[in-house]
Amino acid sequence: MKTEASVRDRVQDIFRSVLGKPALVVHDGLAAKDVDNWDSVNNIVIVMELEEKLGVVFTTAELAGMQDVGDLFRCLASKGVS
Amino acid sequence: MKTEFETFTRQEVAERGEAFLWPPDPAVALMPPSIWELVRTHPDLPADLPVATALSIDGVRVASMGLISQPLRIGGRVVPCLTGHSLYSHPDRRAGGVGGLLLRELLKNLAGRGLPFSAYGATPYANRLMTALRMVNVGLSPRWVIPLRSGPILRSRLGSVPLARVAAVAVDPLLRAWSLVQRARYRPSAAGHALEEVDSFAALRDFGLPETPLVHVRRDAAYLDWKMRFARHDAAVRARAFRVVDESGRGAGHFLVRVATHERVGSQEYRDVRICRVLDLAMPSSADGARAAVYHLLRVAARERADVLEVLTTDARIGSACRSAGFRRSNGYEMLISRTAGLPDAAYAIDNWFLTMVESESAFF
Repeated sequence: MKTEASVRDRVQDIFRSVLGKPALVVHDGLAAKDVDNWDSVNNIVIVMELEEKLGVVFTTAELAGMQDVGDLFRCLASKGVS
Repeated sequence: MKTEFETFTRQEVAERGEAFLWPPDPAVALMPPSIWELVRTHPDLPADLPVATALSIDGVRVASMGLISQPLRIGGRVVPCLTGHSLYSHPDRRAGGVGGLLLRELLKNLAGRGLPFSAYGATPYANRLMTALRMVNVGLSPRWVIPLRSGPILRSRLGSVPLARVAAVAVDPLLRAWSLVQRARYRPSAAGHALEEVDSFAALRDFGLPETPLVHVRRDAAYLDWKMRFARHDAAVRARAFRVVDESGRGAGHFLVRVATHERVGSQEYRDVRICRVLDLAMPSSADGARAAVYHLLRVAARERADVLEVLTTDARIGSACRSAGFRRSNGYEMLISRTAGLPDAAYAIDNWFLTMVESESAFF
C-alpha cells in the first residue's frame, strides 16, 4: 500500500512536469482555472500519466465528474491508492 | 454523473434519420450532412464498422465525431483503419475536455476490436491531444506552395484589401511573365507524358497500384471516385480529375485537383483567394514524369485563375521539380496512428512517408 504522502508527491510531480510548473503545490482545492496552461489537452496528458505511473484506470464518468484535485485524490482513494 | 459512450453503424445512423446528423439541435448532433454523404456513398464500407461515435453526460450528448473507413495498405496487406472527421463539442462544454474524453473512449473501444485509428492534417491542438493519447506520428506529407497571382502575398504584407488591389496592378504582370517563363522551362519533351481530363474513374482502372514496402492509404478507382464525389459535394468547390498517359497512350498516373476559395494554406488563413490544391497525385517517379506533373499543374492552376497552387506530395522527384519551378516548401500534413495490436510495426516507423495525398477535408477538430 502506497502512503498518502508518497501518492501526493507523485501526483504533484506529474502535475509539475506536465504543466511545466516546477514550483506548483498541489492541494485539494486546486482546479484547472488556477493554472494558466492547464488546458483540456494537458488535462488528458495528466490523466494518461496518472494511469501509467500509479497503475490505475479512470472511467469516463470519473473524469467527467472531477472538478478539482480533491476529487482526484478521493477517486484515487476509492481505487485503493492513498 | 452518468456517461455513455456509443458507436453507430451506417444502418443505425440511417434508421435515426436526418435530424440525428448535425445541429440545429446540439443534443442530437452526430455528424454534418457532408460527412454523412461521404459515409453513405463509401464504395466498400464494411457494414459492421462504426461511422460515428458520441459521448453523453447525464443524458446530454456532449461530443460526437464522424468516422470514415480508410484502409491502410502495408507491404501489400490491407489493414482496416478508421479516421475521424468533424469532432463536435456541445457549445456549453467547449474547452472542457469532452472532445478528449470522447477520443480516449474511442481509441480504447477500437483497440479492443483490433482497429487502428488514424488522423491526417490535424490542427496543432488536435495533434497535441492525439499525441497525449499515445498516438504515433508516422509521417509527413510535405506541402509545396507557389503564388500565381500577387493577391495573397500583397494582402498579407499590406494588410489592406484596397491597397493590395492597387499594388497588384503593378505586380501582377511581372508575376504572370515569371509564371510563363517557369511553365516554358517545364514543358515536357515530346516523348513525355500527356494529360487528359476525365469525368469517370473507369478511365483510371487500368492504373495499377504501385507496389511498395511503405504504408499508404488504399487508392483505387472506386476510392478515388468516392473522394471526388465528396469534393464535389460542396457547390463552392470545383473538383477535376486528370489521367496521365505516357507516349504510347497508356495510363501512367492521375491527379485530382480541388479549386476553392476561403481556404487556408499552412498557417495562413486566406480570404477570397482562389486556391488550387492537388488532393491526390500518382505519377511514375521519374524526373521526366515529375517535370510533366509540375508543368500540367501550373497550366491547370493558370486556367482556373488560381491565386495559389498547392501540391502535397511525398514523392521526392515531384518535390524537387516543384522546388526548381519556384515553389516554396511549407509545413506539411502529419499523419498519426493509434497503437493497436495487429497493426504491423512498419506502420509506426517514423518518417514512413505516405504515397497518397491527404485530403483537405480531413482537417478536423
